[in-house]
Amino acid sequence: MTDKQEKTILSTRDVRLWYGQKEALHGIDLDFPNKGITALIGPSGSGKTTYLRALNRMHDLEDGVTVTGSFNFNGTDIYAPTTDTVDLRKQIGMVFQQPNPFPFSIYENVIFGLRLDGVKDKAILDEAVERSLKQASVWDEVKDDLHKSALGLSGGQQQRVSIARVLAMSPDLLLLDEPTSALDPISSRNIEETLLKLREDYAMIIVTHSMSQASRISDRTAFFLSGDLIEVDQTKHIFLNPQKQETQDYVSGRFG
Amino acid sequence: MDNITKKLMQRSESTRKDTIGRAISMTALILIAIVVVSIFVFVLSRGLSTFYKDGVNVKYFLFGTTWNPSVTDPATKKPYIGALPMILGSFLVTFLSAIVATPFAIGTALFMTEIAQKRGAKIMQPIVELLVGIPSVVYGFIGLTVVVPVIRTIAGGSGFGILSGTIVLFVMILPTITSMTVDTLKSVPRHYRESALAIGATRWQMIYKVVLRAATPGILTAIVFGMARAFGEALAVQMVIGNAALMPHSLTTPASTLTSVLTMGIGNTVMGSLQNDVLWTLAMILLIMSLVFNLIVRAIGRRGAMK
Ligand SMILES: Nc1ncnc2c1ncn2[C@@H]1O[C@H](COP(=O)(O)OP(=O)(O)O)[C@@H](O)[C@H]1O
Ligand SMILES: [Mg+2]
Repeated sequence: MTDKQEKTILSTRDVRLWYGQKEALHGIDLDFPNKGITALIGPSGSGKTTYLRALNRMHDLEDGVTVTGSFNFNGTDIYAPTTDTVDLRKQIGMVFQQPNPFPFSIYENVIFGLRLDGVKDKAILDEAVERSLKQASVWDEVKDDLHKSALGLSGGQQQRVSIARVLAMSPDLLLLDEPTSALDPISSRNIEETLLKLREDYAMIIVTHSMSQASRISDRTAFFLSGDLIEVDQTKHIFLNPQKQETQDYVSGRFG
Repeated sequence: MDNITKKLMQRSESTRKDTIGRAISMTALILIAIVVVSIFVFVLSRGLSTFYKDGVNVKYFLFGTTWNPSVTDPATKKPYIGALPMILGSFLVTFLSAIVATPFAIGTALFMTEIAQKRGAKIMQPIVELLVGIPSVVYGFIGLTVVVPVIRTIAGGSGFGILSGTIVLFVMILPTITSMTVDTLKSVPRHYRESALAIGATRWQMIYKVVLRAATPGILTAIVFGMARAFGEALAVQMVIGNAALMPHSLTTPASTLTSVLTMGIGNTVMGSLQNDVLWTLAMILLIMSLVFNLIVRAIGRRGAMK
């Protein structure tokens, strides 16, 4: 990363989140630039997933979750009562840990979101399928099988189709929660390559349990511990020259 | 070293238990298989004797429209044993009740799993389970005292008939289809729902385009199970359908089903007589149909798994 000034796409302040009575996030302040990859690292249970899911309001689906703090996404408040979660989630795409294509054809998977928007024009749909699958670097492998079930693909291919499905919506921000942890090393590398290519055009936030993955693909890294944000900086600073002792301990493998 | 070798060569306690357990379950399995095979052999040999012993024409039996085994048809010198009225009656009540029950079942199941999980689990679940367990004679009795008089008032006639049978069966199979549909909907992986919503689906779009689609094989299976139950139900239907072995020309005139004729007639005939054999043939049709329902369920399962 260079130190030239960038625009911020998302800025959160004092984010707190409770599961029932239990506070799981204790005031997170984080800014995300509108290009490049930010990695969220930290030991299991440190609140990375919880924070990520707060960003596209996935916690709305659960009972008993309380979120406070400010979330400024491109000038709009994510948690404003007037914010339409359906629109919001079209702009903030999410990729999950488990590759989870629907039990439909590859083609139907990719255009799922467009169909929801009522797009019927075959030319537009075809174009979106090709573009998204190419962006997700899986086009060459599946282009002859577009109308076969996506569940017949390998785990890595399924995950890239899941990414394509999100990209088809042309989101402004992509959230990825440990997208490679269910995959073998080679598929993981493929996903990483894919993300590195997307890095030029998208803002991405990736939760990862793998420090080597964070160091390979991210521009900035945020270190979470027990629901607190300990440190955020350019990735190389976090790994080579962290400011906090906890960060130092974690990246040198002394706990976690 | 030697000790270890000796130990490894010996059969361990757990291996022995394993062997015993396997023997017990194999015995049980073989017993069940014997019972099932005997039932089939018995019903088939009885049912088929109508055709090879009594020399009844299969086509005449399946498509004949007059059923009166105690009276001889002067034209053929054979009793009137056209089973089409009952076959039609059985299929009509089965399909009609399934067609009516399916939308209600899906609606109830969606309410229980997607819209009001808490209330669904607390109130609806016990109700549905209770309904599944009610003996069919109770349904039949309620049909007799409530449904039949209402139909009589509205449509005239006696009130007995296909319509009353359909209504009673509808109530009977509704909980079956509903509870199976609930199970299917619950088994749709959570991540399908999450990723649909994460992509910007509304709740209804998620249900309609993902959950129901993923659950289709399971829902079809539930419907077929309901149909199998309706097809095989005897008592409740017999109490409201009128038991007249006539071609069903209207939904509100007395009719009959395979099961109702069977249960009404089986005690009044002499074993080995033609009158008795034809009842076994009806039983054979029932058995074959339940086999067919089973095969359909399996075929759906296989197609569903392939997707
Ligand atoms: N649905 C939930 N209900 C209650 N507690 C939860 C829930 N999800 C996560 N937690 C708790 O919140 C904390 C943070 O979890 P999580 O965000 O999943 O951590 P990470 O993704 O960093 O492993 C953990 O203590 C976890 O037990
Ligand atoms: Mg996590």
